[in-house]
Amino acid sequence: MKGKEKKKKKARSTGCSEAMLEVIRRQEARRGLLITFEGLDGSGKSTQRKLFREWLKAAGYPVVSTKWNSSPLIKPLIKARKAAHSLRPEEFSLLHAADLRHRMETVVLPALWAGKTVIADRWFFTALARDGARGMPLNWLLNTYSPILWPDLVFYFSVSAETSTKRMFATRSPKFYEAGQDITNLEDPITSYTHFIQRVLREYEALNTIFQFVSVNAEKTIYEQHQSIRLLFRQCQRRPWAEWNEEAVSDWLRNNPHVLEKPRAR
Amino acid sequence: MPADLLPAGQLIAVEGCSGRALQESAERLKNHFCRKAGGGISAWDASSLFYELSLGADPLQAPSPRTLLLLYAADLSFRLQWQIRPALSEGQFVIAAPYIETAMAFGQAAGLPAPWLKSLFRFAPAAARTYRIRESRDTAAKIKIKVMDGFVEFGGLMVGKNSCSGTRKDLQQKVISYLVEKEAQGVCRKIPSRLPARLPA
Repeated sequence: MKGKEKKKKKARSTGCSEAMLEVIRRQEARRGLLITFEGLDGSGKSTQRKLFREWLKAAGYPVVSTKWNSSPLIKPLIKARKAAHSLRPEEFSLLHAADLRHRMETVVLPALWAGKTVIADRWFFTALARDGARGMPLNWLLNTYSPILWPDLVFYFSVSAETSTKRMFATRSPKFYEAGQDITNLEDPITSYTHFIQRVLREYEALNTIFQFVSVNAEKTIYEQHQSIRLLFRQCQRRPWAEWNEEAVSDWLRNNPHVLEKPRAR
Repeated sequence: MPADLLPAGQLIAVEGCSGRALQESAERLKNHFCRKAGGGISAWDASSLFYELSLGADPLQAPSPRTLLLLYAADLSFRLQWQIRPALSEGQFVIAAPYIETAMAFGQAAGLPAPWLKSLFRFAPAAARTYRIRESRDTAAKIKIKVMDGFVEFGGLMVGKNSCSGTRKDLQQKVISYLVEKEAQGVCRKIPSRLPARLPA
């Protein structure tokens, strides 16, 4: 198929105009990378994320961090409802989707567009794993999180359920939703967590197979993991926005037309 | 069974642009259908999500149409769990005002794709009957609104400044047009001036 016809077909299939696709293609060389860290709680990904961020900053990369359930708009709503133990899996999932969508639109995409590297502690794969473990259908979850902004690189911290439990709860008890008590209906939070985390791990392993994450052996030392992450980052290849993310980016640009406006001459 | 008869333990959806008109219509339907069989109204923002959002709203961080629809769906999930399903399981009537079509109308008016909206609300059971309130594009534009009147008012004020979605009044007009089209397709019907005289056994 010739180049122009290919572009037209692409635009038709995504609902994105050719002009918009062209804007996205032109931004490809300037935009930043989205790198996400996934894995069970206690897998050490937060430690590695912080080391990675400091290393990138020292190397001169402008870096923005974002964490799961941290949108200032949505986080208080989720917190209040978690405290009341009133959330069903569906409502929980939808609120997290709203949180991620809001962060994507107000933090992540503006930073990426401006050429900054965004490091996300958890991305929508966390929802697929945890909400999947709560019985939410995968196709509904994928639609709820659509249009998906696919990261350039996903580090998956592979750790056993036993290690996760030991590291997390050496000094404290898991909280109600953390332990999955909303679905296990078990009184003891540690027992509930042990059951729940097995389900989450199964979901993560399935996602790893489907989406081919970059696995980091979280059983290794902190230093070894960090060295491995540096190497994997250097080898990382971009996922071109025009092929992977045109719907998510064009959706954002349509709602934020000021991004494409030229600055007025003074 | 005659079309106007509804068996007990049924969900009746009431859709429309004007939150106040929806509340009034819901009351009327409740007084009529719930008199003998029992039941009540499930209204927008039963979970107080939008009320809490309005308290902390930062105009620079206003939610996008997609985020608003996700929040509407979360509130609807709450309503289903705590209001609608418990009442239906006891054989009561529930008047859901609004239910799904108002949200779908707003979403499409704001530029969201229909397949995404349809899949989002897949978890919600179909209503036994869907009514739309009597409102026209002309009169709706003249009504002075408050942000917490209803979902369309709230959403319209949140996204109204965005040139992509249009002004608040543009959105209102499109919502009403959507519901008029749904009526033409037989998906909903205008609330009759005289409601069915007989209630089902």
